[in-house]
Amino acid sequence: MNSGGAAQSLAESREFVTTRWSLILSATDAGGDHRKAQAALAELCRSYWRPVFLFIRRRGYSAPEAQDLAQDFFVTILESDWLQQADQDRGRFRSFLLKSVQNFVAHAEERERAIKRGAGFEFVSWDEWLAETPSELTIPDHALESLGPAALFDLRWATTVVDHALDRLREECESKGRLRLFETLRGCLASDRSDISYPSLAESLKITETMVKKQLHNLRQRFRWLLRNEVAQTVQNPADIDDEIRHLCVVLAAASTAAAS
Amino acid sequence: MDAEITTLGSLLKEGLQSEGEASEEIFETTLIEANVPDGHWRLGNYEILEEIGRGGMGVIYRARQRHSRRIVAIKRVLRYQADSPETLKRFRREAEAASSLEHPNILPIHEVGQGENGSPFFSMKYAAGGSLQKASLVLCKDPRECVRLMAKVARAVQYGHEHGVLHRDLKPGNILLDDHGEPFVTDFGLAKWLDTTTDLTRTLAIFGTPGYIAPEQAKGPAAKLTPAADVYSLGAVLFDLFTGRPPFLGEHALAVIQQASEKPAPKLRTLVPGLDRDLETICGRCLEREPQARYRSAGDLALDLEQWLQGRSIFARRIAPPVRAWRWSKRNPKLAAATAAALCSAMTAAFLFISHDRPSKLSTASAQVKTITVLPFQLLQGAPEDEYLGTGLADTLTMQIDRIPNILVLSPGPMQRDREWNRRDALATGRELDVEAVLDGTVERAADTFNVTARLLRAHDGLVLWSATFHERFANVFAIEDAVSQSVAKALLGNLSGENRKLLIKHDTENPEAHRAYFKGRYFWNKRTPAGLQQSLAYFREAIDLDPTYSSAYAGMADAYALLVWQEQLPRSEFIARAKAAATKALEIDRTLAEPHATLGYVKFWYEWDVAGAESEFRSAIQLNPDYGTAHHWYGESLGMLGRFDEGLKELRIAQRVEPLSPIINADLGKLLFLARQPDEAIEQMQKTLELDPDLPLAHVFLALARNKKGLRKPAIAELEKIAKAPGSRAIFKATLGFVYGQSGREAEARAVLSELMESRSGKQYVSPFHIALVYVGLGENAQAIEWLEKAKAERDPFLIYIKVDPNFDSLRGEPLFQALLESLGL
Repeated sequence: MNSGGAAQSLAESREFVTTRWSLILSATDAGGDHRKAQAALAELCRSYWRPVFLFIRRRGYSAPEAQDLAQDFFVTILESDWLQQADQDRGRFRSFLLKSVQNFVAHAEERERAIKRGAGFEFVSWDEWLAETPSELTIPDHALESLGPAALFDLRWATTVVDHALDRLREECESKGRLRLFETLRGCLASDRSDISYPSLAESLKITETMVKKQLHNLRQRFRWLLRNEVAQTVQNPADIDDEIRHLCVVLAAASTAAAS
Repeated sequence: MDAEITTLGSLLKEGLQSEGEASEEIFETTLIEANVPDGHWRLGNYEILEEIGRGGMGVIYRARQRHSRRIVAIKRVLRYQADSPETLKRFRREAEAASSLEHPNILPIHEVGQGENGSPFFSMKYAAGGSLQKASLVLCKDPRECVRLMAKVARAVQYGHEHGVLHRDLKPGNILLDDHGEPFVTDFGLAKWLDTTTDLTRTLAIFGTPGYIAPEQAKGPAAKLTPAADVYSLGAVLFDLFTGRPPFLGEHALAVIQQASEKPAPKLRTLVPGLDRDLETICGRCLEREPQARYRSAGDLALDLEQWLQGRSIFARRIAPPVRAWRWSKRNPKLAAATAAALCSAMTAAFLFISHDRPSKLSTASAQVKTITVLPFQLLQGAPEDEYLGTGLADTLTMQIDRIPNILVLSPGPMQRDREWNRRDALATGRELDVEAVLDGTVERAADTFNVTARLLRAHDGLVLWSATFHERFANVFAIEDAVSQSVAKALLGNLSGENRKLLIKHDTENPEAHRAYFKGRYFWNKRTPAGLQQSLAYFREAIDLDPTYSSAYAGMADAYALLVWQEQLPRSEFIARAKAAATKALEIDRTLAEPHATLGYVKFWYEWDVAGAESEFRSAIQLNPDYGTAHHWYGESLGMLGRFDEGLKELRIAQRVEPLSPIINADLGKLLFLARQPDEAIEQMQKTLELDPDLPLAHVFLALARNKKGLRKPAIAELEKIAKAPGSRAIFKATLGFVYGQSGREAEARAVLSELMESRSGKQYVSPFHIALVYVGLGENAQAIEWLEKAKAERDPFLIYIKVDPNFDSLRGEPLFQALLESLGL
């Protein structure tokens, strides 16, 4: 749709016209550069494998089984013409992936009844962990228990989006020799934090309070852009970015309620 | 608990804020306005000096330990990447596991710690020479150096495998060099934490780097990976070092992975034409698409690289015939199926004497290999208990001389030792074994000195090629052995290279008394009676007490325990555990010994029913010493027990070639023919065996069973009655008689045998439930038979393995319970 030059100008204008997901879809529809689309899809899957694992685990599969299934799932998606089959829910990569994994697991369950799986041989404990997905971090156990597979998928998706944005921000800071600054201010990125102690931050960073405020503002600005960019990659229409973020906020709020209850 | 969700929600909501934004440029300009450079910050006990690498989940720094001031490398998993406390715990645990690997070519982990923000890290040796990736430009001009490095790397990887850790991401970047250019493998088993790729492989949750990972690693579940995946990666690294690129290239990871699983790797010499052909073969062997076609272990690869460095022939010939045939059939499945049956017998015959893809002296052109046999030295004077001196000298000389690459020592077999040797006998034996020369001699002992004469005779005409007399104290036994073996090698080969001389004078003990005890141990072990085995144990123990690093003594001890298990002596599990411990110890001292691998294979197969484990041990033994008869013997027997008769018979025939006069090998060959339902061939083979040793009970038993199978009941019963009714006869002979009685309709006699066995079982003597089941099978009482087989399973009776192929149990094969039992054995 747009050339690289146009994409660059978008950074300034806060619009994200070319996103990975739209690139994938346009290539598929128009018989465009299939190879590029496939690489882009692989890249997206790479970013969002954790929700898939968690979903499958939540469907009652053991860790090794879930790992096998997730593996099969990604291979199927990447190697087949899966995209063409998926007409609905194409607007957002998240919905597409969720729907796909739901279908895939449903069929896997049918196959499962027919085939008895052999036991794998494990050398190290890693594999088991892998399938469990690590991001139970920010999600309390009882919240996890109260959520269905699809809600859990979305919840993990939300954490992934935020994680990626934070990670990129950290990388950008570190590449400029400001990792310590980032580490110190990271906890204050959400602007609704009311308990920020600027004097103590200034003290620990050995800079003025004004500079702390300036830096925090700068980091927030950049974080917002990175977050939106992250979400933009997963929607077809940039106008959907806000909706997608709102959807994820709702998911989090529901999880938070579940956790509190 | 939900605070973090709330925080997350707040952060997400930031994305909805409409307030301004920072372009990258503005952001960066503002960022550096804050005068808080990272500088030398601290992490635990370390001062971070600089970042030297960054990966998907982690970052690597050069750092200084605060008190010792030593420079280390630190790897840290970033908290936001590996985001749960559980993840961090696991990282810690795995780093700790990796830190327990101590090998001169594995980068040592000094400390596993935790930073102030809770992110775990580990510190390790700082390898100043950078990685192979950086060094490869220089290295590719020096293939010899590449091989030297990779041999060490392969050894290190083998060590990791032996400790249950797969590397999973071997690539040039994970092999570091120190100041002296020594290689160190890093990130053992930790690849997934520190993965430096951001491509499809991560998407698929496979960790490894495309271009270097095995095809099965990209496609299959990670849990099913085997060491063969690391062998592939080692080959890919080697390939890269020689050519400057990995075997497969592609525009993106998926393309690379697809190629690796669909196409054979390019041949090295198509890219670097001047390279040695053997190196191409070695690389190709690692890069086989099918894991089972690769080197069987990283150790085997190391061995071949070392062979190449020493200018010796490598073990990986071009593809071994069975693999080639298999490949062909894979490409042409339909055609293969149609012709398989027709080709099957022809192929079996053709492969029979084509030895493995290893340099067996047996398979080498006879003109290059001199064959010899060493007869026990005759005891002229001395107490009868000194007989061990004669066999001990022969054993040691056999072992020493056999180390010379182009001398093959064929063993006359233990049973032949009771013959009284004279010159005519020696030559007759030599001709029987079809060897070129015979070494024999005499030994006499007087007080602490002994006289030894030795002579080397040309087999076909008795010409004395060399002879000598020694008069020495026993303490100088090594000098005698060295002098004899060197003289023999010189006489056979015309001269002796320095390398061969070194091989000849290698001793695994320098303590003559330990050596003497070992002689005695082997002497009694060869008797193979319960008392003999117990005595051998005592001597092996003595040898070990005298020299705790005497590897052969441990190997002997393992053999003794392994065989004691069959002597119906309990506790079986105790003997098994000790056999394994002794074999393992022997290997710890000398990893090049073939014997302990064979013993471990034997133990794993018969006592632990670990088919795969056993096969791997047997193969290691054969790889280490392709002319070790016992390894072929035991391996072949185990293959036959699994119904892999063609392979089994092939192995046993190799064993028979190495030890043509060994009654036990000949008998087991006959046994396999019987199990393969070839009773005529079995009968013929057993008759040959009985010519070698007329009293071998096993030969009588299977001769009788083969005759019974052909309906020749009377001669079968006569044969069995002879041995079953001899005093002290073992339960197996009685049970076989009872079985044949039953089949012949002589029910009363069968029941009498049954009651006798039951009675023995309820008394002190151990009777295997398998044998009781066998009599029930003869009587046609299937339910009872199966019940006793179940008991055999509960007692982990090694005999139970027979039921998979033994024709004696054919009448049970239609029983679902029998099938279920068979299946549960997992054979």
